Amino acid sequence: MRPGLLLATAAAIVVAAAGEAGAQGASSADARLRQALDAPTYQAVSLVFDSARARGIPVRPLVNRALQATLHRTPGPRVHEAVVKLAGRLDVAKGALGPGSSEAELSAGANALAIGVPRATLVEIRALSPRQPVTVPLGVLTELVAREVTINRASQMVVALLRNGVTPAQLLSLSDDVSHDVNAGIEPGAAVDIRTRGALGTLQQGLGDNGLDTDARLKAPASAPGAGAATKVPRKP
Amino acid sequence: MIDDGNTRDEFAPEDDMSTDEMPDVREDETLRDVVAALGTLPAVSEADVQRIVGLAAAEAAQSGRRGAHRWSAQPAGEVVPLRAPKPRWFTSIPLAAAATLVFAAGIGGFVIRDLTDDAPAGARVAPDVAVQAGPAELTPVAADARDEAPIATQFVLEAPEAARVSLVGAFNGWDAGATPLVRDPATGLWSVTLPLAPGRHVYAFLVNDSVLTLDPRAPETQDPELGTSGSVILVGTP
Repeated sequence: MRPGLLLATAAAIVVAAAGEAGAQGASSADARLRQALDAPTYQAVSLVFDSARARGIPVRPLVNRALQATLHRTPGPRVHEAVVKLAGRLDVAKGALGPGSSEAELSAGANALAIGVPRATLVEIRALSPRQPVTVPLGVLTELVAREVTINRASQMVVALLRNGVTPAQLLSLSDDVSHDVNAGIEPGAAVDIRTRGALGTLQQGLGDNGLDTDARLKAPASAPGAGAATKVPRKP
Repeated sequence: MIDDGNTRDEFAPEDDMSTDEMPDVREDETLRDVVAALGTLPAVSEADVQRIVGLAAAEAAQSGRRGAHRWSAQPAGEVVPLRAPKPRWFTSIPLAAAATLVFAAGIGGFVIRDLTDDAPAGARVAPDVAVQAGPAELTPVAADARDEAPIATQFVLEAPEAARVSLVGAFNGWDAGATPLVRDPATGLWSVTLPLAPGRHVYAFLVNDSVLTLDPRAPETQDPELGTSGSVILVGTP
């Protein structure tokens, strides 16, 4: 067999196998849903899936949401309601983050919206990272709010750091530090302020004076423990 | 320096035409007419050059000739011809087949990622760069794939009495059978390592196929819509 023909055949096999694996995965999830949900709920969520698909919304997060609910033995009407709400949030996230956003980005945006982050913040984050994934910044933002940092303060922190060129790894490290501070008993807002100042100082050292938006620096309240001092915060022993 | 009569001006071109051999415009009737005609032409402005270039480009586009010259007016008004490169992508069958294979692998990966519940969420297609039609313009259309590449993440649970433990989350479609943990006989710890896309993930352990258990090492998050709680992990490049 000629090499070209051999390679072309291999390509065809790869395509066929990929399609088969994808179809099996989708049908497996569908079979699990059909088995776990009562018939009316299954039909109702299937309609939501179809509607989302027609609007260009990724269906997998919706299917996962329904599967999560069934694993927790959530009643049917509540499953349907959760799926509908997630579809709405994915719609808003797509509008805010742009139609080219990945499924992970849209899911992260939907999760941020669920916890109360406004759509405008998603738009701002996307504007600051037009060509970089925003999955990590949105995840960090969501987690900060979940750790009882106010939405405004958490949003300010993420936006200010993105504006100053923070990397996803730095953001994750910062979120980890804030979590430790909060666990150690520090007020969440104060922990965010002091960690943000420390991170901005690090970024400033790394970048010099070029490209830094000093107006984006957050001002810590006068009552914040350790405000204006070292960035290390005492932790639980 | 002594001139021996054989010394040649080293800066003179070897095939330089002597002034005696050059035709004199004043004596050559044809050349004289040409020069006279050129002298009657109006001065050409930059706008004229741009207009002519535009007309030429439109004509070339209409003719649709493959490999036709394209013209680009430089900022200073200088006109530089750009020769379009000849297409060399599929000049041989093996090369075409190899390209098809690569393309098929990309499509296959996309299909699997999009349709399979077991695929890690957020896995991104390889970085892509689109070459636009304009001269020397490159437009990046996708982010660096390293930022979204799955990262090996370990989960550990101490459950010495458990017979079976599995990990569930959106990354595996909340499938109890998808990600079982393995017990280390020496320590009694259950663990599993799997690739996760960067970002925030909610998960739980399912002990003995029936009891959903939170990770005592991880933060907890509430889900008011479902009335449940879960553990949270933020995944990213260390």
